[in-house]
Amino acid sequence: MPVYHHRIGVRRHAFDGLATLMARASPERSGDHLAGLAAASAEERVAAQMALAELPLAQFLQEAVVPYESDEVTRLIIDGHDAQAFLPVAHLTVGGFRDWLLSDAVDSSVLAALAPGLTPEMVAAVSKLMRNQDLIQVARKCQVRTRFRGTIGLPGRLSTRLQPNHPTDDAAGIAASVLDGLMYGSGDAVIGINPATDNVPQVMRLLQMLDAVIQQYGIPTQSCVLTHVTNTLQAIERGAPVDLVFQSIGGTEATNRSFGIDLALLAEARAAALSLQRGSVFDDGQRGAHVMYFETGQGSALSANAHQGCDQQTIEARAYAVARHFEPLLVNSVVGFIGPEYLFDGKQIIRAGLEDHCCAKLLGLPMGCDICYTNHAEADQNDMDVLLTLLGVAGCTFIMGIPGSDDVMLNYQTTSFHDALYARRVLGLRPAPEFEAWLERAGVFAPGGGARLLEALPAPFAHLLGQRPVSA
Amino acid sequence: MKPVVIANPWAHLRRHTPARIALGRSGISLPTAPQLAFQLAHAQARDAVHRAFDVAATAAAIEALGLPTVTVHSAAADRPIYLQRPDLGRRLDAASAAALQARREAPDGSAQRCDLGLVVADG
Repeated sequence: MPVYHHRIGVRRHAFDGLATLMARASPERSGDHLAGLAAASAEERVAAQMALAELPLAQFLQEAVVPYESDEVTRLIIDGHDAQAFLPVAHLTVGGFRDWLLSDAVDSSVLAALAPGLTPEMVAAVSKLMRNQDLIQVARKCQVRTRFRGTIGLPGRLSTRLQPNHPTDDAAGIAASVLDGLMYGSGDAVIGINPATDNVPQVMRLLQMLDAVIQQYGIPTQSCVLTHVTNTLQAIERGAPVDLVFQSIGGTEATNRSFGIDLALLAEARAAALSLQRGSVFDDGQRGAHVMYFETGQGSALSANAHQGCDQQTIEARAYAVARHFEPLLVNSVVGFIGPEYLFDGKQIIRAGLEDHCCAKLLGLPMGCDICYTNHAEADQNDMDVLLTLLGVAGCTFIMGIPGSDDVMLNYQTTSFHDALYARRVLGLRPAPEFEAWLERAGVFAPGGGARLLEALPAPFAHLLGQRPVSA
Repeated sequence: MKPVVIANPWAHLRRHTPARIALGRSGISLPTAPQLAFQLAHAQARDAVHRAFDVAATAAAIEALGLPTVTVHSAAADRPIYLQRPDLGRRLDAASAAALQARREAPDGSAQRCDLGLVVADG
């Protein structure tokens, strides 16, 4: 194993192997302390960053942080690497790569062409040398477009997952939250329920309910019930209307095993969802064929004791290699959800959210963020406002939309329907074009594309509520 | 005069869910009342997380039942360390481990011995 080192004054800092170098170079967070991998001092951290900056990018193709022989995620990364796409940066060090990414000549088309040539470890490494503003600026250069019934990820757009969770999956309760969200212009990324009771008949019931809403009102969006992939596969076999296959994924084979999945199972589920051909046919004659929705989050590998000596941000980036292999519609980092032992406070959550978004975008993924925290974290809604604004500037693909920020089933706090409207207004962002057109047709938004809410209750929904439309 | 806060006509649907629906809006923002209601809920949750465990009162209440108590402490020195190092919260600190070990090694029939220990803990 190569030993990396960097001298600062009379002190020589040494790092045994690439995984250790990466871990010591990672900006401070509680999860790396919990794992015993964090730098022991602030100076050691910068020494590691300086050593990492000198490292040729090509070294990542020679030295795996998780062994190739024992880990199918590493094999996916190495075997799937596109050497041709890598050529423009093949001569660079990690530090040189940061400068290159920030340079004026590098734009969205250059980065899109480069993505298959990047490995997660390269991207994680360069992110460790970046300040928050670099993470924002580089992510903003990336454009990743995906389609199912609408077009997600166009420039100037910010989509939302409408998350109408209910503590007992009560149909009327879920419908009330769906209505609330739609009336606030939320739901173009997906209408996605975390079921409280996780079994196949329940999943099918929820899928049928969401499908009925989408069909009845002709909403150009897609539904998802966030259950285990094996449940979704069974639901497909039993004829349920599955738009998107959900699964939590991690950056090592062992993490994925702890989730009860492997790459073959994900491939099987994707093939099953594609066979249903439920995506819309777009103007170019192509059917929307991005059928996967993945969630990730720093700390999941450590919490499964499957991090294999790697820092949590590097392992998180490796999960994106799994995601991109299956061409997802949406990927979502649940950044503050896992708890304070992984990301302690607002500062760490904000940094991690920006890292996850930037790294995923560089790897070509439609990255969104569950901008969130739990009651044990040293964070509150003000920290979420900061991260929301920063991610909006960074070109985040989508965020969550929850009634009043408060998820009453999962018991954590995320972004609200109002929050999404705030981000859209101050940053001039709009929903996906097909969904925006629907909102205007339905009378939720005023015509003209300004994402302005009308005051009157739209007629079809007034009817649903047994009321006459209320005029302003 | 038109009210500044725009109410949502589906407020009656709140009976179907504890979710914070139909909050209305000031422009596109949360009106003052629901914003403060949320702040209160989070404040109460935070207070509950950080409320100190009253060891003396708890021990006195148990001893009033005629049951002896032994106070021990985890290896997490304080709440911030516990929140970041749950592994330490699952282990005793050295002094507590020694105190329990001493009881284990006490002679049969001694008041120090016990057949059953119940753990009352915070966190």
